[in-house]
Amino acid sequence: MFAWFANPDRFMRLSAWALPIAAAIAVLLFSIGLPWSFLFAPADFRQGESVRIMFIHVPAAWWAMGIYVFMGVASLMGLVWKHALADVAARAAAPIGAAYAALCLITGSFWGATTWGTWWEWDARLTSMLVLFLTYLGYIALWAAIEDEQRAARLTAILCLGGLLNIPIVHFSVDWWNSLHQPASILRSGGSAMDASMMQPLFLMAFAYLFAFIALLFAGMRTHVYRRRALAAALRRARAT
Amino acid sequence: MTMWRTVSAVFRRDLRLAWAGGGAAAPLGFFACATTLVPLAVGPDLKTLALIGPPLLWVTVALAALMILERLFQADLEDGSLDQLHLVDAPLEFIVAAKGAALWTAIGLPLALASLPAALALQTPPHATIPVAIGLLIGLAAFIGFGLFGAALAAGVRRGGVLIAILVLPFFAPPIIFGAAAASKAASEGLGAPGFLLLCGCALAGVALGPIGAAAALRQQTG
Amino acid sequence: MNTALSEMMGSEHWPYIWPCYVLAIAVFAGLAVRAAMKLDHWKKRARDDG
Repeated sequence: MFAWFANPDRFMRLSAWALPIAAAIAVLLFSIGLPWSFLFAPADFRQGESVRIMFIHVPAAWWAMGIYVFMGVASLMGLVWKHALADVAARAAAPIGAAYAALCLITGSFWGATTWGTWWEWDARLTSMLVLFLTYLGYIALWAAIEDEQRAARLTAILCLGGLLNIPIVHFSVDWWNSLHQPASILRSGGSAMDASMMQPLFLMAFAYLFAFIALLFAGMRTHVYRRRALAAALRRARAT
Repeated sequence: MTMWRTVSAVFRRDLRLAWAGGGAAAPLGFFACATTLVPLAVGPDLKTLALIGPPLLWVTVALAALMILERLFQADLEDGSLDQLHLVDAPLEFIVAAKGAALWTAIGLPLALASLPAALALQTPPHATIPVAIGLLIGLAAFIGFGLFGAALAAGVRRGGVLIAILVLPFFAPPIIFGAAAASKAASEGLGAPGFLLLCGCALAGVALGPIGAAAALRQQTG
Repeated sequence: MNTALSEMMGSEHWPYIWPCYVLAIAVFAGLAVRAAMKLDHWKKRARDDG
């Protein structure tokens, strides 16, 4: 199935209609999900109104990680199977994932200020997300630093795969470190099973984030395909003269 | 047999180059400055110094390791010896590992030795300074291993020092966490402190996987 | 709905809640605008050059 996408022209034809549809679905889901989370979902009996931040924070966390895994798969496909659009996909996904990670960190900070009374907690999830954010930044920086695009594609793919191995290790290390320094504490109300009235808007928001990612990803990939065409044409013209 | 001869030749050459190029002077100088300045900034309260001592040693050693990485492959890339490395009979991974081992010997050992007086100044009890130094030495194996990976990725980049730092930072986090935790408990539990074995695991990962990733990256840098 | 809204605005967590929603909207709007601008720019370049 993925090989089918490898043809840039086919991808451009597909994304020409898939992009607007994904964007429309994303807008629709957000316009339902945001008011639902903001107003109509019930307040948590322990955390009060601040649990509404969860509807912004948790999907961002899920997809920040999911997008990085997507980048890892794309990197592997580019390196091993030489999939023609894989590096474009990974490159386009990175800024979106970084933005989701940043959104997760900032909203998590706000949420923590209400529940823990502090603007930052060095717990396993927040710290691992911070390291993931830094990993995204390093990936984007490496793309920017190398002029030769083909070389950049392979080097960033190698970096992405290394980072993929590292993230679970970081999570484990911070978890271990936390268990050493403080007794186990319920850091989120996720300790209790979540009520359906909260699960529904949460999953809706999760889908909203997903379709936003797909739309933004396709937009970014199309941009890079156009860019390559423009640069190739400029190169041909420079050679002809 | 010739493979090992090639590898040890690379090791000896890099060792000589490291010593000739000022050797451990820069990292040691940085280490000395940092371990002097931070206590001055923190104040003379001995309890506070004892608390921040091991973490400070660990962070300073990690940063000192970063200092030497930028030049690691840059020089080889520029003068073309990197191209030649592909032609020798030893696998590139082993060559890279030999370069890392040379760094660890030329710079890591002096840094670990320098940590002994620094630890004393930071109120580590004398019997604990040896486990702390051993931990740092093992941690340096991790830092250099992962550092090789970052340096190889950024080898062609002008002034790649900051880029290398950003790239390897996520990989430095676990050894620093485990190592600093072990060092903090070195006074009471020596080498049996919690985190020490995990630190060794990180070092093994760095030593085994770093050269593999670095070699994969280096193959993309030439030609 | 008005009671729910005024209840929330009255709660002690209100100053923490609304910035998160504003930030989320700002991030997605920013990503969308940036993507649209870059897409448009390179689409034009590809058409003009190629």
